[in-house]
Amino acid sequence: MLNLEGYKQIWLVDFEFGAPEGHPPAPRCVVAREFHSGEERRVWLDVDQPPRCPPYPVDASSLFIAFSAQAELSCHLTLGWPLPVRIIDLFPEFCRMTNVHRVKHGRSLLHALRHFGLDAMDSEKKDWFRDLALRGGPYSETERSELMAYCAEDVRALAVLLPKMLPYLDGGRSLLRGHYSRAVAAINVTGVPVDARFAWMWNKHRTELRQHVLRERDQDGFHDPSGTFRYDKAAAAIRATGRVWPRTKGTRRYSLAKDVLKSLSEGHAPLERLYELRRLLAAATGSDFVVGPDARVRAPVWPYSTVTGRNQTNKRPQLFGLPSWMRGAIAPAPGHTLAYIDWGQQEFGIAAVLSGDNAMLSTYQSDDPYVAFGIEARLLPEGASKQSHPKVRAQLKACALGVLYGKTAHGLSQDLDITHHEAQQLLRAHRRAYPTFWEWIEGVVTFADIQGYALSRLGWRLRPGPEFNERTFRNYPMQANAAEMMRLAAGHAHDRGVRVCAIVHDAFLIEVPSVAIDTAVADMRSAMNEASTYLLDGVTLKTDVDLIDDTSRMLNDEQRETWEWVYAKLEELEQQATGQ
Amino acid sequence: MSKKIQTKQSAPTRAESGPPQAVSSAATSTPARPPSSDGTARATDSTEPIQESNIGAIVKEAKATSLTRQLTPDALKLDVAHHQLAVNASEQSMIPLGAPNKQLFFRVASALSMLVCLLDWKADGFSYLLTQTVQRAISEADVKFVKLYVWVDRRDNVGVWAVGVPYSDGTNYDAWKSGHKVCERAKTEWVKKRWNRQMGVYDIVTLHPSVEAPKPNFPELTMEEVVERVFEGRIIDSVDHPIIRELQGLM
Repeated sequence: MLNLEGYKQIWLVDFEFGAPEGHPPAPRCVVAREFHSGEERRVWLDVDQPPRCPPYPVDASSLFIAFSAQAELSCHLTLGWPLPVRIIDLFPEFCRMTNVHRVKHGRSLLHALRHFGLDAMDSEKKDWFRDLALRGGPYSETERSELMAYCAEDVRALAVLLPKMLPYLDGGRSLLRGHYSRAVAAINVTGVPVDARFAWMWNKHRTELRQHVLRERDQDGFHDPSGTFRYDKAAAAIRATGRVWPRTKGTRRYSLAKDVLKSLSEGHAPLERLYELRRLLAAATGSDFVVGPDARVRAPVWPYSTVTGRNQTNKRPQLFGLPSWMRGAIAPAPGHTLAYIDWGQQEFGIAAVLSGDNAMLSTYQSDDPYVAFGIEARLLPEGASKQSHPKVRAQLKACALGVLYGKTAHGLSQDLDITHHEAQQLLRAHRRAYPTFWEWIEGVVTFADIQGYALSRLGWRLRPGPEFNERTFRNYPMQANAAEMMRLAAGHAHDRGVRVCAIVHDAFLIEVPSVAIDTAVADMRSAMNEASTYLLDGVTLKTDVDLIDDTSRMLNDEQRETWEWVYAKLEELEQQATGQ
Repeated sequence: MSKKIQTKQSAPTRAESGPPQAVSSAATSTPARPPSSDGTARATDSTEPIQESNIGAIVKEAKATSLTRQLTPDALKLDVAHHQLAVNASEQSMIPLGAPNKQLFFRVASALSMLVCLLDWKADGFSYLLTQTVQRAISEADVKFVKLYVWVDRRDNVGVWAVGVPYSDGTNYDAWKSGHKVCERAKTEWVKKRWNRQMGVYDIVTLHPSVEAPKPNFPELTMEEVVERVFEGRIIDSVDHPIIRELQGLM
């Protein structure tokens, strides 16, 4: 429950805006309604000089309420308006209310209204007005007044929804969730800087590129000359490794799913090449890069859109969902440097702290946790290192991470291409080394089973669906608390004025003028440290930093080889096209 | 690869001074009034729309006061439980015959159990309940005697577990004996059963003492009603039943 009495005013706000792909939002109008007095303020914004401040107060004595507030706050940023200080976003609150594992629940404003039995505008009408806002100007007087009237209708919907949702709001935790939308808005407006020439050439020549890929990159002959995939050849290559190629559930054909091929290919060069080839072909047949006029890709972050509270991103223009070599397209603006800062073994660290397993925490704090686990479990001798025991370390790593996901001996044996017995031995070694963790994780699952829900430390809740999936709840504390940590760190970074371009699972991509990179990295790390220290009661998780300047890219050697080949090929195609 | 700087920070440690302290209590369930001292937020009269001249001050304030820190007092963090889940009462239309899922805790209703005779008919894979008249008419080798236990899990799913009882010649199995022990234990506390392959018996897993176990919601049915729901359409009460006739070689 949230106490509204501490606020002088409560403003319910909605914007209508255009959202051309790759661009920041283009606000058309805003309607705000004061909850207690019912006073309504409407401002048309699609003019040459929109007002320079919002028509409602945004300081700490007022509460700003919206549904998916990051959209409203993105409009604030586009207009140069200050962001509200106290925010309640009813979207995550509704998601939290209806967060049931494997039970799909609509999460729009219309769904929320219907959930409480309130009158809702029909979705066709809503789509019509949304299209009108997206269309862009010029707008006639009638269109303006209709669009503002529609916007006001949404605001009135918020006014009737709020009292219904009030009992479900979670006090300060709801405010904190709302606060995250400030950082998300800034990230969505900022976007990721990319190599504009690459993006342009990619969009223009990617279809032709596909033919070159088939001719020049398929050295193992997994496709025939017409480009048809040869299942028989792939099956033979997989059989040669002694593995079984899973089939799809419906059609019973061999599965070409990304995860399946990745898992089959590990450690087998021809299959690794096949995996990369399929990814390259998929990218070439996929979508265009959507790049804004300022050479930035804007892939909106959808916070709280997964059951664990993690963000979801629109995959199409999202560089981080594409094959890893395509990260080569990420390039800082001239005179700027990018820093990719991630938490090292974040989920492992969270598990160690929350379980109270001191041995696991010591392992986490060592230079190489996976080698330390091997030594702790007496599978590696004292003094072992990544260099001296690379294969065993890889197995220990898979085991240590797999345990956090409830991986069974069967799954582990498949992943590592080892016998079931060897996988069992690994899991038993983990159980011996970290008994407190195992006791804790069993308790976590039991709690979810008995009490009917699981909670993160900041109140993100998941309830089991009709079927209780033990593995989901086994992994929940790590995922949900990692998501909380990311949100807190994003908030701290935003407060410190760090320019975050993207959130990628457990990492932040920031961009700053090169001269200020050291300060910005220090600020970002300090924000991340503050978040983990707070959430983990005094334990600070490790962070790693990679810098990307004009002369470097986010690529390892293998990725660089593909990237350079694609870039050169695109240049060649462009030269042919222009006749140079 | 891009330049890597300072790949790792100094080893993480528990902060000596503990987590950062909250600056204001605004994030608790009772939001605080705006700062009354020299906070720049005061410069804006919140009953009026924001004035352009105050934008700079508000932005400056936001940066200076670290809003996220204000919103994260220690009290905000949860330990374990915070909410109670309200569920709607529902009635299960069918009651399956089967042991509880090995992953789930369950309770057994002490007042609901029954000794019965079952016939596992391989042709359709179903178990049929035989009345006393019928069981006397066929060989003991074709049937099995079981005790039915009614169990519920935490989602109020109801099922019936048929645990074998010794044959008249005294044949008994450890699996049956341990099954009865699991059910007897489940009459007083939440348990899970775990099959011990080496020993060929069920092990009993109980709740950790720290977990406050809720009361089970047993169905408000008599044992006869439960049996009717479990064996709906599969109760054989006459020797003229086609299955019995087939068993006797008469069809």
